[in-house]
Amino acid sequence: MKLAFVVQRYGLEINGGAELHCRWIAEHMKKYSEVEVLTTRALDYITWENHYPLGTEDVNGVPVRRFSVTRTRNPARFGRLQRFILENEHWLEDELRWMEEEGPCAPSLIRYISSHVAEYDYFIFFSYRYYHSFFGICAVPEKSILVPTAERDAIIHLRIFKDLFNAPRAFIYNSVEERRMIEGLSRNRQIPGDIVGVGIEVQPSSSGERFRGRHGIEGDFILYIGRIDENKGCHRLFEYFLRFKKETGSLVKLILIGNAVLKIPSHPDLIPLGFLSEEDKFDALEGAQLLVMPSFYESLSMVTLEAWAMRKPVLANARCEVLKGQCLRSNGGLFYDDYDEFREGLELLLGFEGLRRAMGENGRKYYNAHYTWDNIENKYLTLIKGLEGT
Amino acid sequence: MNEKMTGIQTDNQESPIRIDYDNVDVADIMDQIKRRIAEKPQAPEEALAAAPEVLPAVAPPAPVEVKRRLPERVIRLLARPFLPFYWRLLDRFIVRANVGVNIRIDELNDKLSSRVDQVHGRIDEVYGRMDDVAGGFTVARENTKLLHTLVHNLVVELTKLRIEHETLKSKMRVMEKDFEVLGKREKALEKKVIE
Repeated sequence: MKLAFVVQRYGLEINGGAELHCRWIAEHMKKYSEVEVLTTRALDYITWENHYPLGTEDVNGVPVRRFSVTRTRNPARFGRLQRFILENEHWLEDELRWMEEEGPCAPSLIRYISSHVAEYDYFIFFSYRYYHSFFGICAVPEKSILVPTAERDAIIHLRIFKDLFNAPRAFIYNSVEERRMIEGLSRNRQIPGDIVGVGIEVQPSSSGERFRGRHGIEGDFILYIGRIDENKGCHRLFEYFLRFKKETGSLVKLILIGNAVLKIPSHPDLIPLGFLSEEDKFDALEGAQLLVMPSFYESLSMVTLEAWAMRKPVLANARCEVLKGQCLRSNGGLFYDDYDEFREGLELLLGFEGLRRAMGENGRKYYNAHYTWDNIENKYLTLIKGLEGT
Repeated sequence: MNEKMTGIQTDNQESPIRIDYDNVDVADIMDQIKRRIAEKPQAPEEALAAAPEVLPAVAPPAPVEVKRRLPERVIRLLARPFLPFYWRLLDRFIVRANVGVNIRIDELNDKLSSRVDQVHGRIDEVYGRMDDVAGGFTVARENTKLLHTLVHNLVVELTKLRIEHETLKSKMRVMEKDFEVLGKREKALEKKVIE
């Protein structure tokens, strides 16, 4: 069996999102089948400028075939077009134009897929909203499996996606909520699919003390991991956290791990550490009281799973259906809809070690049941085997 | 079963959150938190404190109307022992009513939040249907646009053909004249040859 993983960007430099998800799955699936990654030469997800060399290279034992992006994205023009599409009556042509603007526009990748269909058993496309998935699935619908990584944002309501969600041979969803949303929008229940997600590997020798020593952190702290961005709800987190400290006089600190796109308020207990290594990240998780996830839109949230794998409870944004659903299913975290709930939830979790421990254990059980690599690999293999029978 | 009553220290008062550590139920904890928040602005103590301010608004019946039926002295005599109980009764009734309203609000809140998911699902379905309708509309509009273009092209083609036809007709007339001239010339030449 030969599988092609088709994704918008691919490389060791890309540390999150669907790209990392795809890399991990590809690296694990190479044990069971011949695997190849079909992607673009882009590294920057804003402009899609060609960065990697053209041709084939080996990334962690997986052959990666890269195709050129023929048109870089102009963010201002794209923004204008997207606003027009979301706010005005428009034609299908406009949506297709939006798709080409969205990119990464790599027609040679689509031509390659069309002309080499016979060489691959299945093409596994990651991220529904990009050029490679839309035109790639149109080229080989009968051999395509889509991992949508969809969030509840306005773009998913475009007409072109309703057709797209009815095209692939099968779906691999990240969560119950994602599946419900896509099935509700496109009524594609006849297409087989499973809720899989991604596996998490825990660093075995994590040490909170090492993290504290390395970064000079004293006292209790809560942790945020991810891009520090308004889209991730960080502005609201800062507002709530500072208000919480002012009202309760709590000494807890908020440690931020990740690159900042947003201006971080200056406060001695708001500590941004920038991007850290995997070892440092797991050390931080080990030392933290809990992980806070303020994001409004998530299709899975790998850091939440990492926190549960490390037996840490989570305080999540209830407005993100996926996070709320995961907390309810795992009993591994609380969620908040507004400041009052944030305050109550945080006070409860910080105030009662037994609750933190119990929720952490629940999170770990949930991780063991659904997100170990054995589970994930088995689900992929079962789904693919099921397709062969049909 | 390791069930414990925990407390959250806020606003100098202890409010219980019941947690079974062996079987943590996040939905239940969140319900308790929501209830606690809902109770906060109108906690029983606050309601009690607010009650006297509310009571004067619900004043006993106006004496003028009663005067019509019973002498004022009898009313005053009857009211004197009854009045404190009446106020207390009213007080308790109103306080209970406030607490009852709070509980009712909580219940409604719970129902509302459980409905939100269903509403989301419904919105998705509606979006799906809207997409269908919009899809049909778009197809019809595309067809109309196509027909319009087709008719336009036909008119253009017909006009071109007509022009071509006119051109050919005039060319034919020219050629007929040429032919006529050539015929005359031929006859003239024949005549000269015979002569």
